[in-house]
Amino acid sequence: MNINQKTYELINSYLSGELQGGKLDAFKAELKTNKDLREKLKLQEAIIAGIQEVRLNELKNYIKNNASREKNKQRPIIRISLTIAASVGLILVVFFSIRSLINSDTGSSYSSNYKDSLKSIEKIKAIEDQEINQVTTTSTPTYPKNSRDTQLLAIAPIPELEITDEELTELNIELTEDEVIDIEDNEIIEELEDFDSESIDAIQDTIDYSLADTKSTNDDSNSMIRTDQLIATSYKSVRSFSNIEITDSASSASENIGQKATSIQIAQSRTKTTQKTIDKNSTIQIEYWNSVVGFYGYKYDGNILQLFGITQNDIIYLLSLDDRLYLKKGNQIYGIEKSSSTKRFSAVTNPILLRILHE
Amino acid sequence: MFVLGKISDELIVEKIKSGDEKILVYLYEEHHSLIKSFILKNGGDENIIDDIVQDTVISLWRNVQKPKFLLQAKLSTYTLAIAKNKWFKELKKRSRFRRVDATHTKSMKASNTSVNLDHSIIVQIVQEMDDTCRKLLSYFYFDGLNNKSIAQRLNFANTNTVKSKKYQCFKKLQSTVLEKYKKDDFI
Repeated sequence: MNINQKTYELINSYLSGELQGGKLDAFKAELKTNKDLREKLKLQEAIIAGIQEVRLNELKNYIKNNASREKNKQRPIIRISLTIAASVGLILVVFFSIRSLINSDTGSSYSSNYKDSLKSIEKIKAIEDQEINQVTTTSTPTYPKNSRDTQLLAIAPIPELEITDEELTELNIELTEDEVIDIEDNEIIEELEDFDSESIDAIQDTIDYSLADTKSTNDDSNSMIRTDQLIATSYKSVRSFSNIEITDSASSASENIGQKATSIQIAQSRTKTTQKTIDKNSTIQIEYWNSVVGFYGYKYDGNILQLFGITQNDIIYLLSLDDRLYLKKGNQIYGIEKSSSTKRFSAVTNPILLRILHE
Repeated sequence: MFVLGKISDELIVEKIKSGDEKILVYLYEEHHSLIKSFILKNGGDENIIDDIVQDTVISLWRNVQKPKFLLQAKLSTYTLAIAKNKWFKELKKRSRFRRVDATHTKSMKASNTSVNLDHSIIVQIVQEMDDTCRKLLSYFYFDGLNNKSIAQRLNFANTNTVKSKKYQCFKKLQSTVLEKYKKDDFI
């Protein structure tokens, strides 16, 4: 049964439905009478069905194999990735835990460098404290030196201690342009009645010394330590419940070291209600610290309240009831306890106490 | 095939028209849950889902490859419409088989024996063909490609080459099949 190309194409056209009109009628008539054509049509139809089946199975198998392979492939990848991530995290935690213990025991040069840098920062901090005290109150209370909780300090790269004007400004409260007041030396003297020029010079000298100190520390070591950073300091009066009137004052100062003239930026000094209820003894110095480990809590030694995880931009109030101190932030009220170590914020849950404190 | 995000309908059509078979896997995975949900809500079971989705995707593949194809709706809507047709045909087939099984089992057997065609032998012969011939005939008879598209896909010089090569391949296949069957089997 040989088939010529013309018949082959004609049968193809008939089977695909392309053959129409008179040609279709003629083909059908021929089929009725021509047995050989019927055989050829039957054979061609069967072969085409075979070709279609092979191709269909080919595509089905392709989909089946690849689709199932994808499903099997993706799950282990996710599983392995999660396992690796968890392992790396665990190793890092263990590594830093052990390393901090080793360093505190041996007192290596690494930790001495670290202590030097802390001292430098503390010197700058002391000068800033002094300035703040001069600005905010005429009677300068003496506050103990910053005490740091070593548990909060993660051993990490040393902060870059080459302090620029901008960086020093950032150490204090970030001020918006509207709040910043640039004051020249003469203006400072006018503004601060008890602040004489000798004191300014003394501060300037100390700052220069501190800067030199910090620079030399930085030159000595290329290693970096990331420590808890003091972001800002402010004073807050405690709201007593026999007297609900509040005074909220926050101030910061920054020294423009690049210039010889001292430029003290004073900002954010707000008084919300009458000041007649301000009791200087109830004013508490607040330090806003940025914890390296993301600690959210406080440390209160009776004079300075160190806050971790709360910034100077957060609106907080200090409340006092029955000689106990409370910190209010938003709708939450936390009890503040005197302690030599840091504590996590513990929210007040007693409904009666909350009602009194919220009043 | 690992694909980040969704592929646009236009790109899918383009890929199908260019014969990129990888897009079949993407379409299968992309529409599987939609078609599965439809079948399960309409009296289907888990066993048939994969087959219906595969058939649907392959029908989509064949339809898009036709020169006159024009996408006038979202591809997912079009695909679901194909899946619905497939599933309703399957339901009809099931009910027809039940009726035939109950009443005409004997006559069906008798009619089957009158056709002495072993389809699996033709399938086997086609599978054993040389690659170019098998692809050429598959593209023409299954994928519905015209001679021009086949020429592009198989790097033939022109459509006349495709036409003559197609005839030669078919003739060769026919001869092989005839060797296995008697002439009378096709009557």
